[in-house]
Amino acid sequence: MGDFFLRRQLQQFGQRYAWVFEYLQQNQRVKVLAVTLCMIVGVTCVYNPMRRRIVSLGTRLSAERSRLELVHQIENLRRERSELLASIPETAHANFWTEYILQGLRESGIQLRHFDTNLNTKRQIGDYRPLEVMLDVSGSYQQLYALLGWIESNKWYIRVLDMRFRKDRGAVFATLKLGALASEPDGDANKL
Amino acid sequence: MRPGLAKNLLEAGLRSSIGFYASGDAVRIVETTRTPFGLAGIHSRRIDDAYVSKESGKDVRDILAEVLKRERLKTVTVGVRPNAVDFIADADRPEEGWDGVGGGESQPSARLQTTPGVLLDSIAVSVAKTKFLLTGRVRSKEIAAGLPDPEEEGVRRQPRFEPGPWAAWRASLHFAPLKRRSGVHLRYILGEQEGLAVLGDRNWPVAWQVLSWRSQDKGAALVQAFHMLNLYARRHLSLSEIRRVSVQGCSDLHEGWQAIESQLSREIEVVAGPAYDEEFIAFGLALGGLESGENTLDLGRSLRPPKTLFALLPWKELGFLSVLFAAMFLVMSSHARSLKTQLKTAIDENAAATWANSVPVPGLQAEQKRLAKDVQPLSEFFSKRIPFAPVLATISNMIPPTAWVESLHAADYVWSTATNRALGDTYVLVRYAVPLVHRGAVPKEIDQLVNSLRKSLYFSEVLPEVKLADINWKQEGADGVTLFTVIAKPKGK
Repeated sequence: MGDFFLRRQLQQFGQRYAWVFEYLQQNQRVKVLAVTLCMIVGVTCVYNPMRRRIVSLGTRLSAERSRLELVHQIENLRRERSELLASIPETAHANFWTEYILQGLRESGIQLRHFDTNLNTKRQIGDYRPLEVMLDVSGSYQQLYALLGWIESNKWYIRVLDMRFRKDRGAVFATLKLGALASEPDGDANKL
Repeated sequence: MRPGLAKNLLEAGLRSSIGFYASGDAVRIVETTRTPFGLAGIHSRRIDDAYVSKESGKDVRDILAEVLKRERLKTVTVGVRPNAVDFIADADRPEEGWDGVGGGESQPSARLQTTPGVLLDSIAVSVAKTKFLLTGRVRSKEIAAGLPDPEEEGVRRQPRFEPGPWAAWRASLHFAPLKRRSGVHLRYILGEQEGLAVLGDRNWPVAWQVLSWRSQDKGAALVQAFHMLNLYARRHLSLSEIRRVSVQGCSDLHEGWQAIESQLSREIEVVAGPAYDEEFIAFGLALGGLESGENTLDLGRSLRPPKTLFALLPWKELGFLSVLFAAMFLVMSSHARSLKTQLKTAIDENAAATWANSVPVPGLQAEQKRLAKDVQPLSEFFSKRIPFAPVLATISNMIPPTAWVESLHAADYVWSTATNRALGDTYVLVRYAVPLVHRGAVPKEIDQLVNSLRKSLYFSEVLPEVKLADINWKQEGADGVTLFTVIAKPKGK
């Protein structure tokens, strides 16, 4: 009985909406409609969600990568700085350099004629300031060569900025300008 | 794989169809297969013993039933005799409610109009830039007589039914296509004793006349058909005059074609193609079966149950789109998986740097900037250094026994600028003295010194640009000396 009513209802439904079916049959409307629906479903259910996912993952990956790159850069810079600072004593103030260079002069046996230091307070190199040490010395060639060797190969980093040698009556007179990095401004250094 | 299955798959991929045409007491069956490279495997057979009764048509029905049962994957098209079909071409009349669009767009509403006892089918086409509704009509018993019993086991589908001349026009165009812009064209398709005169353009026929010269002069029949169709084209179809005439098939004419040409005032072109007979029509029917059923007349269309929505759906297009979206899903999901893996690696590497975990990105950027600012001048201070002890050693080793060094000036400025800008920040300036032989003479020690300095290991590596800067002569008491200066600089400075 129920089956009969259901079939009848279906028939009535089919008759009522037969015009829809007829309309769809014309001019390949079914094709256009079906293809359009398929495209909409495909774009909505496949393309858009996947695109959103890829964009989201791409954005997160980009952020993580830039953070990682920053971390690597910082680690590299720290390593480089610690390698460089290994050549500078912990207490590299101007007085230390004065004492250290005078000790080197004593060891070389050369005669010191003039000694002066100049701390450049206007320029900053990392946490340090440039220190210039001016020396006027005289002695034999061997003594001067030994002094120069000591300056360039001692434990701490000192570089020769300027060097003038002249020979006068058998002795060699040398004016040296040395460069080093001093940790703190020290007014006493300039007084020496 | 079973041979039958392989055959079926091959046939499904290649698309085959069968043309079935009964004429007199014979049945002609032509089978064609279309491949991507053109038609292949045209097979024709004639069944002579089939007695076709006009009343029952029983034998033809049996043969057709057999074909339909055996060739389930192929479209079977049955030709209807020309004298059993009414073919009408109506010019476009919008007030009648059909918006005929060229190119064979079918109009189901027009197709569904039926008259009791008559089967018809219509198709809207464009011929010579004019829209027409082409209608084929046939008595239903003409079709029903040829149809196999639907209750018979194995016959669950019905063939298409096309007018024979319609199929003949298709076959004719297959052998000799009409030129583009040929306008209204009349083609004679001639057999031994009968033929067709078909009016149409390069795609569609709009009228035809069956020709027979069994009891008439062939030439007269051709001329008469021309005038009839020309008049029909102008008066009824509102088309222009017939512009071109061509002949295909048995083109022999005892009075010669020049005589006909002079009567028609048209040039007649003889084109290639076989003679008009039942095989020719069956071939045209088979060709039609290779195409979509929508772009042709099918007189048996209303006998078939209406198409379901399932049958109307464009499964090929939907399949293509499904494959496209499936491929898109696979590619995009693969890409997303790859991104996810890379992201996980990056997150793990970031987590490994524990000191940075609690620092936000702006803090890291500030730290990086601060460190770069610290390290750059430090690096510059430590990296650019010229060792002067080897300079001194090399100079003292290279000096000739007769020469001596008057003075030496070396500089390697790093943060203060040089006093002599012309010399640059890094240089070695050595002033030598050599005893004077006679004033104005250039001592050979100069060349020796410059060359030996240039060739020395240290100078060639560190200060390769060794040049003679100046030469002076000086009188010191009784002896004179030659003073010369050598400058050495790093490369490019």
